[in-house]
Amino acid sequence: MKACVTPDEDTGHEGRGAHAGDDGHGTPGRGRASGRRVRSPRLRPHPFGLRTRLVLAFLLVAAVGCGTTAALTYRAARNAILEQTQDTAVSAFREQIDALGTTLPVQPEMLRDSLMRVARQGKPRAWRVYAEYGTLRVSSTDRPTSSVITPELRARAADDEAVPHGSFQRVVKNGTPYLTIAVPAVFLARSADGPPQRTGLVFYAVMELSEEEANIEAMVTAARDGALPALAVALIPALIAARGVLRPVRELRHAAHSMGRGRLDTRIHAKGSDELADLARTFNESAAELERSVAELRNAEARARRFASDVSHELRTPLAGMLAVTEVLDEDAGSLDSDTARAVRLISAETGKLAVLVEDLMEISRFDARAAELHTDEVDAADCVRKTLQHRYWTDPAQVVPHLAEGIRARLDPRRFDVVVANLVGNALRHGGAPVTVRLWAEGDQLVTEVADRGPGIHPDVLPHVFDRFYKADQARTRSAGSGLGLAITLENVRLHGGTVTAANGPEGGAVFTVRMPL
Amino acid sequence: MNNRAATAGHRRRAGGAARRRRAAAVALLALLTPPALAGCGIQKSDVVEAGGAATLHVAAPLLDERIVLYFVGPDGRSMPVTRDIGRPIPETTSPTGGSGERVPTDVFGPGYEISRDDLSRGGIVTDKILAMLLAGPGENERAAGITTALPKAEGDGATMLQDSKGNASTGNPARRLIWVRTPFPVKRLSEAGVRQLVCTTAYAEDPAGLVEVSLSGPDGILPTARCDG
Repeated sequence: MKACVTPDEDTGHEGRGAHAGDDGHGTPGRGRASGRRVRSPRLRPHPFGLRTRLVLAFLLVAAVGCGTTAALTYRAARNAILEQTQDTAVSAFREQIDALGTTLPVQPEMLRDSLMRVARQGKPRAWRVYAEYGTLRVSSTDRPTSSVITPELRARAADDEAVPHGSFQRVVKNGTPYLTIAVPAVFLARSADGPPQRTGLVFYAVMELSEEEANIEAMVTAARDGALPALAVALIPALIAARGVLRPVRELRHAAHSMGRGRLDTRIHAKGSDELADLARTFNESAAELERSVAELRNAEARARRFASDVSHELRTPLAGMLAVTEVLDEDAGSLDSDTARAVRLISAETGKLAVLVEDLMEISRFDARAAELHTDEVDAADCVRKTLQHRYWTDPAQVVPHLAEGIRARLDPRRFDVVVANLVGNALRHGGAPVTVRLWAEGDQLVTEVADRGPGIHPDVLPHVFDRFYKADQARTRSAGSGLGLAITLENVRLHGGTVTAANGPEGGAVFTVRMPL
Repeated sequence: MNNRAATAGHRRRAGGAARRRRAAAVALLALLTPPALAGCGIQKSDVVEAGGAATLHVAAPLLDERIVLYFVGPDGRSMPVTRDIGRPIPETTSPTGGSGERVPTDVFGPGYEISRDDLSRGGIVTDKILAMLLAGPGENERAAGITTALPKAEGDGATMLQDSKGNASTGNPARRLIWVRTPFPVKRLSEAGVRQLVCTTAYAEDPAGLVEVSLSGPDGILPTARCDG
């Protein structure tokens, strides 16, 4: 086991070299160089995303267009087909009845012969012909009457109007469409000039419309076969339009994501002149502006750090000379008169403080420049704390009470651990009240060091700032024994170990600082 | 508080707008769907009038060799039948301006008189035609469901005819008015029965049926009527 170093040993051998541990504040360049791959944002599937909505809208428009056109065309064509058939059939039927001769009252055999003749001349297609006269029912088929003929049609044919009319009706029976035609027959009673008189004889024709139905069904099939490919074709522009919108949106999202991860040089390839291209250009301009501002801030910060570092370096050399002189003066102070001796001692003390301050400043600026190195070693933690206390002469039990768990082996930088413990205990002695308790124990895989004092504790308003640099808990007290950097340096050292340090007030009063570091 | 209420109201209004938009979309679909769904195939239709009636050629008794009797079909409507008289009905050749003298006749029973002019007319007279009508439909006619609405003529009871000489009509001076006297009461006759008498008389008197007929019976007189509406 390596012995813990003394605090007097200088801290000045840090320099270049990679720092260990990641504090999460890497610069962009570093972040990229560290090999930590920036994950591209996962693409979540959107059930009702832009693509779905665009495709649905396109399909809806196409379906409505196709459907309406097909329906209107279909209706017009169907009506035309039916009208043509009906007109042809009605006029042909009337013509053929016109040519018939009969007697009154009718002779069924003769009428039947006439009906058979008419039935053979169906136009546009074969029809069945029926005649009704009084109670007589004569037909061209074996059944005297047809169940397809509706009572409405019969009533209309026998209607008591002055001028009788022919009429027709479409009937669907058992799924088969029929055209039924009724033509009442009139005759000239006794003179060719007189008004025609009803004979009471009504002729009916029944024609199947199956061929028309087949034609109409073919039209429906054609309309459907035309509309479905049209819908499929509508998918293509829909997908293209969705892609045109979604690609820039996706690019924008990736870019925003990588900006959020610190890659301020991210830019989008903006082309075109639509709103999305405008958005991309705006994004690029904002990103450029942001990058410029951040770069300026970084430069300013780097300049400030370098300045602090330079100043402390420049102060060190004259201070070293001054310290040597003040030591000599201190030795000779006893032989001087009292006023001069007090002045000399004051200068000596202040010079010493100045030297400490400069050392602390240099330490802090090394942390800021990330030049602080961790030289870990496996040590006995209790041993380390004990040595720290001994070296500072904090051995009076009225001042410092150590409660150290023995035998904890930890991997840590002994010099930095010494600084941490010394700063915390020194701080407690200076600002808190004796006795200061130092506890050390292992908790899980963590080494816990606790420094508690019996002082008044820390004001809650101050608690969040105790680790700030040069933070004065009491604004009125402008001068203090410490440099104002002690706790800041402690924090940096603990962080370098990958640990945490917290400040709190104990249950019985007094400040409690707890350091947790991985074993 | 106020502010929150306003925001909530705005949200509610926004929700209402979304609901309205959805409702409008549904309405649009509902409006557009029926033409696509309505009536695939052939639908049944109402009765549609198409053209006039067919004019049958009644050949058997020639136009001027027949008389037309109006009977009643099973549905109560007129059913004319033709009868052959073998020879043309002669035109009324004798001048109507006859003596006007009325002579008693026993054709229709005692107490009837008939104009001498009518008796002097040749051929089959309307009286006979009316007698045929009152005799009722023949066998073949009854087979077709043809009936009569007139009471059976009892005995030789028949109809008597009087001619109004053309201009006595109240309504239409161009039409002759024919008086028909029946042996049975006319006021109780059905509409179809009246029509039978009127039409048969009209077509017996005039080939085109353009006369007016007044029926009178023992119980009174019916208003004049025409066969052609």
